Amino acid sequence: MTATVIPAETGQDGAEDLRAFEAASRAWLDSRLPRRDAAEQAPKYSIFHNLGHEDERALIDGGRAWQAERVDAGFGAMTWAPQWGGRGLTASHERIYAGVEREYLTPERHENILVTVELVAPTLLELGSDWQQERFIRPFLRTDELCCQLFSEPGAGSDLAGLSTRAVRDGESWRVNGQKVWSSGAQFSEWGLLIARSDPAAPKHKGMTAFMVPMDLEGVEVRPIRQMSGGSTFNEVFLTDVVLPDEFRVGEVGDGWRVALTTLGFERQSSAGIVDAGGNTADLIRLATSLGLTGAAEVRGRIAESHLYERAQALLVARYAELEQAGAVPGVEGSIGKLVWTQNLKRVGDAAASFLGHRILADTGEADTFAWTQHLLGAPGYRIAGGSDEIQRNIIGERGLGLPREPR
Amino acid sequence: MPINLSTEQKDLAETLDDVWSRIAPGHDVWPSIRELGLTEIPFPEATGGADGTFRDLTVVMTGLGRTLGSAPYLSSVVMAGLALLDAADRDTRAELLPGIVSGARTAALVCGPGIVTSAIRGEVAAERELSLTGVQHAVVDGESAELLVVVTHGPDGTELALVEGSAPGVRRSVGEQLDGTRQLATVEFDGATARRISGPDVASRLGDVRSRILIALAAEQVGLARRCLEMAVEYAGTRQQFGRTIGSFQGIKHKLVDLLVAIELAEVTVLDASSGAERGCDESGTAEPGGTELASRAAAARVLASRAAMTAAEEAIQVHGGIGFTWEHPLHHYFRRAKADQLLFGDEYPYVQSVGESLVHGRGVTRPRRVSEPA
Repeated sequence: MTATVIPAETGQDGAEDLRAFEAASRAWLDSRLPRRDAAEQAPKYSIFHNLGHEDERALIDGGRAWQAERVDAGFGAMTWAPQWGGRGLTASHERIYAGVEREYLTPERHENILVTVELVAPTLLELGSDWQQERFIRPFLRTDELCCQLFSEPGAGSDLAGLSTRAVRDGESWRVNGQKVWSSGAQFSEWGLLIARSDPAAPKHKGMTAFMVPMDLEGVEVRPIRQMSGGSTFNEVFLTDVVLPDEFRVGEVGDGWRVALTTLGFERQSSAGIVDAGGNTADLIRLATSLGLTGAAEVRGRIAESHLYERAQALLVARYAELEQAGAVPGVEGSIGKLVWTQNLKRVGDAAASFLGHRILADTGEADTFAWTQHLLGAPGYRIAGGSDEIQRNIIGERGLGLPREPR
Repeated sequence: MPINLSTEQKDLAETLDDVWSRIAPGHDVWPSIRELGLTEIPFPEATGGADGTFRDLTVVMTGLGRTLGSAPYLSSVVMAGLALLDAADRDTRAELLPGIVSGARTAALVCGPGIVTSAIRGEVAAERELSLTGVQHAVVDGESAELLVVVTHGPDGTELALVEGSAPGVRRSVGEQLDGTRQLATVEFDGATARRISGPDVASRLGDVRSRILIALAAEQVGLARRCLEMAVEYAGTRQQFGRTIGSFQGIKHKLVDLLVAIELAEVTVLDASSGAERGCDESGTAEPGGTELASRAAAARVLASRAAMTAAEEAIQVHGGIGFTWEHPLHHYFRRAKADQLLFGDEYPYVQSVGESLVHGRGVTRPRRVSEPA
């Protein structure tokens, strides 16, 4: 996304401009949303959405409407160039707006929106054809249309380059056959970004090509997968004789690996900042207080541990943002952030379960107790989603510490 | 304040690393510390100091942690120096600080593991004089220091007292110790006459001194941890087994990555705590109190840095295999220092508890929310 970020402003004028921008952001939000009052908010412990189909669609629709409203008002895609409906502002502006927005009760941002806006749109800006950029970027930034990733396969998860979905050229079109899996939000998406094997003879990283796939096309079948936490955010996607025009191809023939890496790069940067799923230290304190456990040293210790790492992670994210603003190229920060985050999700879930004891085994009807199962059962999922712990550690070890590569 | 070090601070860190990297652990770096003027850093200009920031001080401590160079820096500059600066009376500051600031004289802080108390009792001997009795173990540079700044329980509660190391009634000795790179002495007072030097509000000021000492030590622990990780990464990148460099095995690679993550978390917490430890001084150069907020940030730095340092030293030895367990290899010095640092001011349990207590007693936490960081 470097192409869209204008260097951070410095000096007096920059600071004044940022202050004015903050005031403008607050004025706009004031006119639209109620302020967030932590005390009045119902606590939410789920890490993945564990909703029925219609409820999840309603959640997504709420998020889409808000995204479109933000973009139209100039607070949604602000670092993007005006050509794409943005304002060409800096990362500092974006950060300031994000900080102000946190004071308000915003519609929840479903990860399907995140994938479309933060992963696919910038990938197309970097690698899409002129036609694709014209066709997709604005609708994706406004989330008029949503896009999922069609990357993983039953036989190719962490070893993504080992995928076997085939794309065979037939004149000006392509015929695709295969099966994808773990496609988050595929059932709600108009489009999918597909990586398929176009040359089985080429070495595995070389023979792949990327495509935009209309999800309502003949031969595309989406089957939701029920997760251990109860919901069905992920899907299997079956592709049977799907015919795609060549203009839906993203990048050159054989360049699919580069497309995948570009998207995954945005994903890693983006996952460093996720702190808002599931319960956290504040929730643990509330739980321990309501259970009358705060006098126990063990309980206070667990609360402190959760807080120490939660705070350190927030500082780490801020530190990396500061480095990036100063012009550093992001390296493995996203992977480090994700590891720290998923480890703390586990820390929080384990603490809550230990405080609750029997009360998390069977629903007693008491508010705010059994609900923690949503966190407990969701936490293992994020250690896999978006690159498993082992893959993140390989990335950090090889790119961050310069250790020799795994044999591949 | 920015979280990251300034360009000048990064330059200082590189210079120190360059100067000290050729010195074996435990060897004397005091001459280079004086030559570079590092003793002056945390002190105001009025005392002959460089009026540096607390961040600058942590850069020096990090460098010392990287190399384990021997010097009375923690004892004289950080512990005794900051105790005098923040908690001693005005006359004592004016009299003693210049010598400590220039490094011409060294002092040690005689205190217990909790810093604000010690095993030493003081009884009134004459006007502004105490007679000291008791034994305090593990006093950092307690034998070599010229001056002893003593945290004592006097007639008015916690007090600061000053006595020359060579004064009658003072006995000092160094026996065998876990970490041979830093002197931990037993200091015994048998009716030694000491000057009462407490400034106003000494107990709460010593509380802040303690926070600053903990943060400085945490910076040393981060430096130590980084150096251990570097040694382990270097070794894992060259050592071959089963026909491959061992760093390509996930068992090794992931161990090293977990160290990196622990160090990153510790370092950013130390940076955060050190920005909370900057001195806001009144006109006389006395520090403004930092209070519970500073104590809480110091505790966080202490806990995460202790863990990072201890794990780094331990795992670096494992990555090195047998060679890491030999006397010749420097890693045992790092292991010893890491363990000593971890326990020097008490183990981490009370620090974790203090964080937990302030959280459950209503100070609460603000929920960090997701900030979308543009690429």
